[in-house]
Amino acid sequence: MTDRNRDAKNEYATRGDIEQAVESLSSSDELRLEKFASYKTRGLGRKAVYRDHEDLLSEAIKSTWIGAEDPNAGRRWRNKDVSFVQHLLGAMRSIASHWKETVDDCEAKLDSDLTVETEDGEMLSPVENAPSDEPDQERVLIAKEQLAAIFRLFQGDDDAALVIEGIREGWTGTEIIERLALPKNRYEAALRRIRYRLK
Amino acid sequence: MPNNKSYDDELELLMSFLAESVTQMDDSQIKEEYGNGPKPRTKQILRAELSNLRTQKLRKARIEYESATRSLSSQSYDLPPSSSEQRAILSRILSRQPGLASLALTAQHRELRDLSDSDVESFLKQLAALGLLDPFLEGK
Repeated sequence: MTDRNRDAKNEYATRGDIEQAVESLSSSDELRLEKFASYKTRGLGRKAVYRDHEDLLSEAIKSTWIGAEDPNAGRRWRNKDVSFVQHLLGAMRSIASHWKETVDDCEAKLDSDLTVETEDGEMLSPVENAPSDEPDQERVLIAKEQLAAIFRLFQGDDDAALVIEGIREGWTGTEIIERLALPKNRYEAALRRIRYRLK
Repeated sequence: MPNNKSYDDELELLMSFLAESVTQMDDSQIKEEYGNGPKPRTKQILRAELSNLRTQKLRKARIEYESATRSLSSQSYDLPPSSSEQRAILSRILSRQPGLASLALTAQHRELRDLSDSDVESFLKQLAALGLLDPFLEGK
């Protein structure tokens, strides 16, 4: 083995390193990973396709395990530069995004396959015009109801309601503080209340 | 009012924001906010998946072995019916083709007498399936 190959090999964790890292997780790390996975899968709603936060955690470790021996098939952990927790968080972000894309692609393909041109030259999409009991519509309805339930939870909490509005706008924490002129301590307290009510 | 698609996106945006905020919390904040809830199962889930992955190759090999065994059992071979005759043929094969001994005798079965009757029969069937048995049966 050349020096360069050996160096490249040493940059990544072995399966033994991975097993050891799992055993070394602190209780805070366990909570951090679990809550992250839980919020991520709840955010996917029905796009998670009956998969929950445990599936997301399992997929992340599976991808890491496979990646240790086959970088083309899995996700390699660069253990000299990135902590195990950070690596798993990254893997879960990527997997959740992949799950979402898969559903979006399927819907787009279904839409494109089923779209027909009418005699007037108009493109008619059965998916877009689906009645409300179609799966996609059902999923949207569930998301709508979940959002409504979340807003109701914070009806009497102005700061939390403001923070949620900021998040809906796609703002970062700093932007929420600046744009809404919300003191940092009140923003952080509101975010804690939101996490607490939605945990 | 948001269109239908954006309800999905908004829910994802909100939950992703909360997920990312968890990654920014230090250990004491994590314990304060979530420490009183149910004990996390993270380690248990990760261990279970690792255990599943470790045994995957073994399970695959077992399935392949069982499938090959079933395939051998379902075919008919012109083997002598008695186990003593089968053992004699195997002994003859191994004396003429010592190289085959490494296939038939694992580290656990260094001696032919240690092989069970079904192991002997199974090995002869494997040789028959490979077309290697006929020369030895002719002289039985």
